[in-house]
Amino acid sequence: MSRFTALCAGIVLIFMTLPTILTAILSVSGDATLAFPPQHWSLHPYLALLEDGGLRGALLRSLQAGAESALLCLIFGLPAMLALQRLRGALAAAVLAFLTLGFAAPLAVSAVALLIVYYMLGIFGSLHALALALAIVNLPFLLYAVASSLAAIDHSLEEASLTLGASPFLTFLLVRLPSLAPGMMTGTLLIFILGATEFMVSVVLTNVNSATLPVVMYGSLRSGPTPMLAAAGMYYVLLALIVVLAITRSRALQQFLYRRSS
Amino acid sequence: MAMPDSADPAVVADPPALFVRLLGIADRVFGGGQIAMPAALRIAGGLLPAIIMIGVLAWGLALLFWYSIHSYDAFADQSGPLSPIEYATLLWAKGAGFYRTILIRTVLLSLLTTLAALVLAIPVATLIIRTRSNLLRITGLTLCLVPFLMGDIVRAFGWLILLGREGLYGWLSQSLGLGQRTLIGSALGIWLGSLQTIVPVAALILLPAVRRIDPDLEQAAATLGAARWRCFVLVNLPLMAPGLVSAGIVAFALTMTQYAIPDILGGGLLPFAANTIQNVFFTEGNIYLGSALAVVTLAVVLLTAMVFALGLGLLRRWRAGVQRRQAVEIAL
Repeated sequence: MSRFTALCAGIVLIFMTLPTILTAILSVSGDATLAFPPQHWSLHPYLALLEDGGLRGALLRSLQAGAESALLCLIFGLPAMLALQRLRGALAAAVLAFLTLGFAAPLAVSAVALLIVYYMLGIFGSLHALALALAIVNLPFLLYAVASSLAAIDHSLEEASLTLGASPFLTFLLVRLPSLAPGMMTGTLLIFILGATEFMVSVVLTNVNSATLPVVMYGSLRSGPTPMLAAAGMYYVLLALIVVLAITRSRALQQFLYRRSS
Repeated sequence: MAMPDSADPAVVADPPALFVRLLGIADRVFGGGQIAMPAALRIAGGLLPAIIMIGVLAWGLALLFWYSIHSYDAFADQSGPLSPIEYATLLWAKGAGFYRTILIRTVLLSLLTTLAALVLAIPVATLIIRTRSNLLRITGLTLCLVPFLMGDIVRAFGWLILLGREGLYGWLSQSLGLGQRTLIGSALGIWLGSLQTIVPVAALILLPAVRRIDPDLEQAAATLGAARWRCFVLVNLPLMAPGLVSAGIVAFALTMTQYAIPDILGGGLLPFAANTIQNVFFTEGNIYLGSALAVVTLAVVLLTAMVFALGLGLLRRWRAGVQRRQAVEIAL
């Protein structure tokens, strides 16, 4: 790697981080309206955010929707991936293509498609329905993460377990499942945070009572950004940072990112 | 997860007795009977819940398509007969210029974003793969993943205060005596904001492709006298081509269907296809026209992906052909 490459990469990375740094600076502004540079400094935006019932409720709903969608993906996606692994050829490819429909269809299109169905089913506006929608569009992340763990499985361990007299059930529980755990964890965490920060599907599928934080932030952006919104953004940056630090240590992410075939 | 080391007696110590008893009970309850279930049934049972879940979306997409091929009776607010009129309104009828402009703007800005994102992602992916410093690798990965995971609105907010009149750009331009300027409402603003979303994604998709390139190949090219840029064009770029194509497809699809960035950084002046879909659906209340626009957007994304993939296939065949000819020439 030449110095030139490293220099370019550094500039690009700084460029991508600059808006976040600016958000961090303005989140401790003591001014009433948002302007750079801040005239006063204060931690008030962070505290005001937690005292503001509307924003706090929206933040909690976001976290709930993210967690529910991650759980749904795990419950529906893991058995599907284990079953899919035993299919071969065109059928397996077709099923996988169908299950990753959420990636193929643009979010803006999926959002209105789901809206029409939700109206028919009469579940529009429910937070659980939003979680289901987020699970549908983010399911591919779990499938890919589990698939990369499946690809790295050491089958001799399972054979050893069976040879030593463990039942297929115990072999699955004690050998197969733990070796899939890194992929499951990476996928679940990714879907959790993507769901908690998602905007496009959420803005279409929520009403005033179920609006999540990104939807509420979007609404208040129109009436002019305030330092409180910068603070709300920093909560998300912090959440993303925690998740990233958790998953960059996991082996599953290495398998996922550096997978052999693309 | 640490693998138990068989040479270490401490690791293979017996698990607690209670745990073993519980496992035994679970085995008898869930796995002991070994109900003879055909493999096909077990596979179907695993797949079915997920297929039903995704079926909700498939159903919605089918409905969208169904609405899009019907006319809209605005007076009675109900579906008219089967007709291509919605597509005509969007693409070729008189007055379709409004929608055509939006579609062309979306495609052009997406192509520009994709191109720039691929160029910028190459050094980032190279840094993450090639650096010997673990700290640098983790930092690079973190700086890529955090903007990807923090969500559209937080990203758009960051750019709003970077490019806005009250933001860093406005402050800098005023300090330089140029008046309080802003990039909000300009195509440049949307392009910059889109890049922040797309570069990390492109870099993450490129990682496996960059990893496959053997550093010895560059060394060999350099030893044989190739200049650095020639080595990059003739050695690295062809090896990265498949990764670049997948990254390009994803980058284009994601940019094409952005909503928050064009809305907030475009100041409502430069809507993309997704903004117009929302507008037709919710402001005009015309789900038939909105569905047709959604179908057109989906079609553009899928067609472009196919063109990209086809281009890669042709490139591969052409390269295979060149190699074969060279082999024949050498043999003769």
